[in-house]
Order: sequence, then structure tokens, then C-alpha cells
Amino acid sequence: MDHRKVLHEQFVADNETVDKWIHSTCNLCSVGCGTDIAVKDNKIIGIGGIDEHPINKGRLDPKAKYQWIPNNSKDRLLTPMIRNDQGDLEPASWEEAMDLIVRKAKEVLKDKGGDGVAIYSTGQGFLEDYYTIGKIGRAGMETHLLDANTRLCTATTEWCLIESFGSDGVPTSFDDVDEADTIMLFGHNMAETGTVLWDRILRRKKATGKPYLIVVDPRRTPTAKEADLHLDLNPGTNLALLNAIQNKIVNNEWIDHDFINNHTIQLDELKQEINKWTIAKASQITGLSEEKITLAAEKLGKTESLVTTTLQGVYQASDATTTCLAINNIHLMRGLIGKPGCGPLHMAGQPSSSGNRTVGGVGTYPGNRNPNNPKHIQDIAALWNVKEEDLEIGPNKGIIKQLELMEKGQIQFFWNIHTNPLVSLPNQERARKALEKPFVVVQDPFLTETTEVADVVLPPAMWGEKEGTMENADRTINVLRKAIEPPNGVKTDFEILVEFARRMEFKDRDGNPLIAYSTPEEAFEEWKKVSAGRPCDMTGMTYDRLEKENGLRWPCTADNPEGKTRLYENHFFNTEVDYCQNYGKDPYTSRPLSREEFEEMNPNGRAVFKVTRFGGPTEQPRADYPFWLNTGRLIWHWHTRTKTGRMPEMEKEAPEAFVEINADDARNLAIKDGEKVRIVSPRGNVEVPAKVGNIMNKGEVFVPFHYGNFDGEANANEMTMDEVDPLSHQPVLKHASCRLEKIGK
Amino acid sequence: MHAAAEIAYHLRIVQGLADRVLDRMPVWENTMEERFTMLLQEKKEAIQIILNGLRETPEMNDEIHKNLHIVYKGDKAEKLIFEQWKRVAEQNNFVNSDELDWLEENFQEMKKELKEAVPSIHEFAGGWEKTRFIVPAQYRE
Ligand code: SF4
Repeated sequence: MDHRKVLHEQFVADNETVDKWIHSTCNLCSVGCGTDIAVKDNKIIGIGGIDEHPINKGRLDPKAKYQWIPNNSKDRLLTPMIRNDQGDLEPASWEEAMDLIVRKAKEVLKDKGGDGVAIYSTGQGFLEDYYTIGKIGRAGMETHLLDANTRLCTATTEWCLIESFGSDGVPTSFDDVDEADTIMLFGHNMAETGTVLWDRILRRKKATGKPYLIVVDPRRTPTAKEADLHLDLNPGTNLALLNAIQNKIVNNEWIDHDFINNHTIQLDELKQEINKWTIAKASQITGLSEEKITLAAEKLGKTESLVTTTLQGVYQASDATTTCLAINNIHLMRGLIGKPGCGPLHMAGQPSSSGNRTVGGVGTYPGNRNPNNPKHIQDIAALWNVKEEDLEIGPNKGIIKQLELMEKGQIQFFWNIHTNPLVSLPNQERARKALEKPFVVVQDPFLTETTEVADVVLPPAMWGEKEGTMENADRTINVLRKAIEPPNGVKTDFEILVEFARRMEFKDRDGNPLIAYSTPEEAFEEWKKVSAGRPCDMTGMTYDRLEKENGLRWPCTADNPEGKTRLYENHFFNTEVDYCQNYGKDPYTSRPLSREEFEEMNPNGRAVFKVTRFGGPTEQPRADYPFWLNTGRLIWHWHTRTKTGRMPEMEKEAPEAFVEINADDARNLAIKDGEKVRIVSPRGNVEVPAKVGNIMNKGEVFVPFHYGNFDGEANANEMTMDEVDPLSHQPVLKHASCRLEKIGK
Repeated sequence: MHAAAEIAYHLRIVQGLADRVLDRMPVWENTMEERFTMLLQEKKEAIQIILNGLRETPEMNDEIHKNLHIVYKGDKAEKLIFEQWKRVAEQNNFVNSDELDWLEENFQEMKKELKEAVPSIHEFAGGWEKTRFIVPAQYRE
């Protein structure tokens, strides 16, 4: 498999020679860069970018270059652990650990049924794992309590796409950023969170002057610094800005009448809402000048091609889904979708969270199926050879609702796979107390803050030690080959799940094992049959093709073996009543619509203009908490640093949390750069050094969320709100109120 | 009691509880309160349509089906929003705890009544396969 000679960028341990390079994909963010893994003596010793990979063309970002280091960490778990009677975790055999898990799962299922067991997975696993979770969860445990940390990452993407276009799947792809005249990055600090894609945009801009860059972000981020137009709006006002822009575009007739008449519905309903949104009103709410908003509207209203990207600045803010719907509306009113250089590119955070949505480990039913459509449930029952009535249809509960169910003693078995909620969830104090209640299984290569509440810890294999596929943010499926055998004592996620199903004796209707496959590739082949005929059809893919072609985008079928660069090129959307992924929700109250209501709308292949009513933040600054608290990522770290915290180079760059404060605010509070500050919100407080400068506007502060442990490391989520977007149930982590107290040196 | 009468009995109680809560509004005016208030109002109206329907033709039809969906799915959405409104209100000491407890009791009471109506809805609709797409999982056990 040592098939490539030239690697654009290689990062190999000093004084080592590589035995072989194995095809893989970066396992950090949703861009999905092609990588090769350097191996010597069954040890990973480095990484290289794949030159021919269409996404990154050999490039890698700083943290990606060191992502193999944690594999060789001395503190890796090499055996399961069980909490003993004294409350300590102690090593156990796989037999003991699996036996206990299975006994407990059976007990809870008997007592509480499917409502008592939950699986909370990840956006960093493999499609085959997610598919297996979906199958075990729905047809085995008959639960509707499947969620993942994708709830913090990409749930809003799924909902806004379903609402506007009938199903999940970004309409555009990364190829379109190479062709767009204008790119709007909305709440998306791409320079720090999707660095290689950002590099691709900047290279083009430097060479050709295109695209015109609009950046919407309250902070002066590295992305905003490159913008032609930076809209540094007040926190929680994204939708106010977009409502005024939509109104201006409609009023000025910068709209594509033919497209609207033939391919959309409900513009009149939208007009009634956005009519109220003058530029002056939006200026007052957003804090942006009227000139800036007008310029943005003109650019968006007149550009010939437009890609709009979104990320956590939208998804983790108030009105998250409706903000994305407003972006979809702008593309629809301009007819800028389904053609080169055009379309909304709602991103994901993690490397494979989109795949978890696609195969139904989280969210709706596998293959973009509609859990409210009896025909879709019949389909799945037939494909899995199980009884229809055994398939719980839910609806699914997001993690914040699941915490409530733990508090009430409803969820009694909680299986946490590759995620660290006791750093990443909002309002940590509450999350901690809730997670102390059920029987908790944590599957993680390292001891984490979450293993502190675990009853059993299972050590899984890491990147490079297992085989499978991942879906990135533009529908590309990449295969990751196994570069080395996992260390002794460790099993892959896939092996653990299959073993669990076997021990639980999950059967199909004929009494055969529910999980009949035994390798990831066999699971992928089964999944392909489930995907057939659906928007995410992958029947034209094989592992070998995915490696040879450096990834393929879905849909990819026998008729269309190269996959699709963009969806909806024929302007026919997935909104037929028996094809759509969901009947949608009321965009303001979030009440799910019935089939009858959907039929009354009669979209039938047309996209839907959703009404975008502004709500705004629930909690706002006031006398005792006068600042806005914003949280987010740094280029140097990934999530809760389980991996990047074990890369010395990254820890050196960003060893601890801090608070960014505007220089005027710092002066008023007599806080000097580097001095310690206590930040207090209505839920908790942390003490961190100040970074004084001009990145933040006055009245706003920013704390990175990567940090936090039980030894007192400052965790931004002690302060964040456990409030969610009503449609996507994604937590509002981007704004809360707080105050600053100077502590000094 | 006849299934239709049993459903009507529980829905009337829910309607009364929704009225009581709506009469107390506004408590802490914000976007979440506005949302659950709208849902309560919508639920009340849907119940009225069901009650009228049950009086006219005591058998499942599209209108009753659609409005039962609004009632149950609306109740679920409303709980999620109310619970987080309550949490933020508590964290900020915006609403006194007696008021919050009173509201919580009424919301829980509505859920309890809706759960109690489920067996009659099954009977009325002619089986689980017709109603499980209306009634969320946690109202069915
Ligand atoms: S941009 Fe994302 S996928 Fe690409 S190298 Fe960086 S972290 Fe990895």
C-alpha cells in the first residue's frame, strides 16, 4: 500500500525512516483533508498530506501535523476499568466489563424499556460505528434516546437543510468556494477552525482578487481581518441582520422571479414577516451602521454567485436554525443554488459528524428517512428484517433534554462514546450532578473528566488503528485504512458494538443475529443497501474506490459513479411528501408539523421559504452582569484537548484558558494584560488571565472552551447557559451574561 | 366510559390548565415565554376543534388526527421550552420559586392528563400503528 512517493507536507518523528505510508484522512475537523500515515515497526511515526487529494492538495494545519502523537501517549488506557465498592476505577478484563455492561443494560431495559437507555456518541467516529449504533439503538434496545456531541456541533445544519430543502445534505461543496464571486462566512471563524479550506480561499483571493469576503462575527478574528466587509454585530442579533437584508433584497427586486415561481413556495408568508425589518431597525438592534448593512445587502443582492458558510457563531447562538433558514432564503430568492459557485455551505465542526446524521446514529432515521412517515419505518423494518412495531420512532431527545431525564431518574443507562461532556456541556455543575445518577459507560482512549463519573471505562482503538469511513462537511466520504494494529488490551469501537449486540442477543425476525456483519467493510456494504434510493445513496462506492479516488461525494450510484459536486442542479428539491426527511417544524415555536399540514403546504419538489421571526437572546447583560460572554475554539486545540492536550507543540502555544477583553473595558476595570480576572455568570465562575486588546468589542468577552478539569483548570462551560435552540436543540454557547472581577497578579 | 368521551374528559382538563397558565402570563417576558405561550394557545384551540369533532362524529377523521398531533407534539415542544425558561429564570432569580413551582405543576398536570388519554386514543384510532405517529414515546408508556 506504499503507493505514493511525493508528499507535499510530511511530519515524521526525528531520525526515523518510514517503512510504509497508509491511506487515511485527518480525524480533527470537518474539512476532511486527505492524509497518509507514516508507519515503522507497527508504530505510527508521522503524517503527510496527500498531494492528489482534491480537498487539501497535500496541505495540513498545525494540529493535524501532530495528531499521531497521542496514539503513542504513555497514559493510554490499555484495559477496561470498573468502579469498585470504594468508588475507585480499577482495571478489569474485557469479559468482566462487557458482562457488567450487558447485565446493567438488560436490567434497565426490563425495568424502564427503551426510555431508560441512552447512547451519546460522537462526531469523530466512523460511519460504520454510527450505523451500528443506530441499528442496535433502534432495533435492538428499541430506544429513541440516541444523541451525540454532534448536538453541540452540527444539529442546526441538519434542521435548516430539512426545513428548506426537504432533506439533509449541503447543496454545495468545497469546489464551489473556488468559483464563487462572493463568499459570506457567517459566524464561521474558518481561519482557526477549518484552516486548510481557509488557505484555499485566501490563495485564490491573493491570486485573482476574488472572492469578495463578507465576515459576520462579533470578534475581530483572523478570518475577519481578511474580510472586505466585516460585520461585527452585537451578540444574539444574527437574525435581525438577515431579516433586514432579506427585506432589502426583496424590496429592490434583486430576486430571481422565474426561479421563485417555479421552484419555491411561501415567499409571500416570508414577506409579511420581513416587511417590518428596515435597515434602521436592524442597525439599532445589531449595533452595525446602516451603511454597512446596506452595503452587505447590495453585495448579496447583486452578486452573480454566492457561497455562504455557517458554523458555531450561528449554530450556538439564539435563533440558530432560523438564522440558517434566512441564509437559505437569500439563496432561494436570488436563485443562487444548484449551480457552480452557488449555495449555502452549512458546515460541521467535527470530522464525521455529518456521517452520524446521514446513517442515523443520531437525528432522524438512517438514510435521511422520516420517522414520522410510516412508509419509511416499514422500509427500515424490511431492510433490517425486524418488526415495524419494535422500531421506536421517538422523537429523539437532545443531550440537554437527556440531562433532565437523568435528573428525573428516567435514563438509567448512559453510554458515552468518544466525547467528554463534563468539559463540553453547558452549565457544568448541573451536567455533573445529572451524570452522577445513571449507570455510565465511557468509551475513551484516556481517562477524562467524564470518566470521573463512569461506572465502566472501555479503551477503544484510535485513529490509524482501525478501518472505516468518515463523511466530511461537503458530503465527501473518505476511507481510513488501518495503519497499525491497536495496542494489546484495546478494541475498536466497531468490535465493542458488535460484541455488545452479540451478548445482548439482539435478533432479527427470523432469529438470526441482528448484527450479522463482522467487519467495517461488511457494515458499509449493508449500509449501502439502506442508502439505496435515498438522497445520500452510496451504492456506487466501495472502499477500494474511496481510496483510489481520494473520496467521493454522495449521492454516488451506478448511474452517477463520480458522485455529485452539488445537489439540486435540476432545481427539484427533496420535498415530496413521501420522500422528504421530515415534515418540518414551526420555525418559531418549534412544534413539529403533521403530514396533513405538510400536504397542505404542497411543496412537492419545491424549496420552502421559511418565515424567519426574530426572537433574540433570553439572558442579556444587565447591571449585575454587564458583559456578554462568548466562548469558542482556538486554532491550536481540538475540543476538550483529550488529543491536542497530549501534543506538546500545541500545549506550548495555548497551555491555559484566558479571557479576551476590550482595551477600554480593561482600562475602566483597571485590569492589565496578563492579570488574573474572575468571570462570574449566573451559573458559575472561573479565574483566568486577561488578554487585553481590540479583538473584542466593548462590553463583550471571550473565553476558549477547550479547558477544564476537576483539579481546578478553568472551564468556560461553568458559565454557559443550558438553553437550546427550539428547532435543532443545539445549546446556546455563544452568549450569556457575566461580570468581571479583577483579582490581580 | 366510551373512548371518545374519555378523550374529551382529559382534553377538557388540559384546556382548563392551559387557560390557568395563560391567565398568569406575562411572568417574565422574553422570547422563550412568548414561544410557550403561543404553543399553549395553539394547543387550546386544537383541543376545541377536537372536542367539536368528537361531538359531531365520534370517530377518527383527518381533522381530529391533525389536531391530536398538534396537541401532543405541541405539548412536548412546550415542555422543552418551558423547562429551559424556568432554568434561566431560576439562575437569574427573575421569578420567585413559588411561581415557578406553580407553573411546573400545571405543565406536568397537562402532560399527565395527556398520558392518561393515550389508551382511549389507541382504542378510538383503532390501534397503536395509527397513534404512535401522533403520541410521542414518553407519553405512551
Ligand atoms: S483543516 Fe481540518 S481536516 Fe484539514 S488538516 Fe486541519 S484539522 Fe485536519
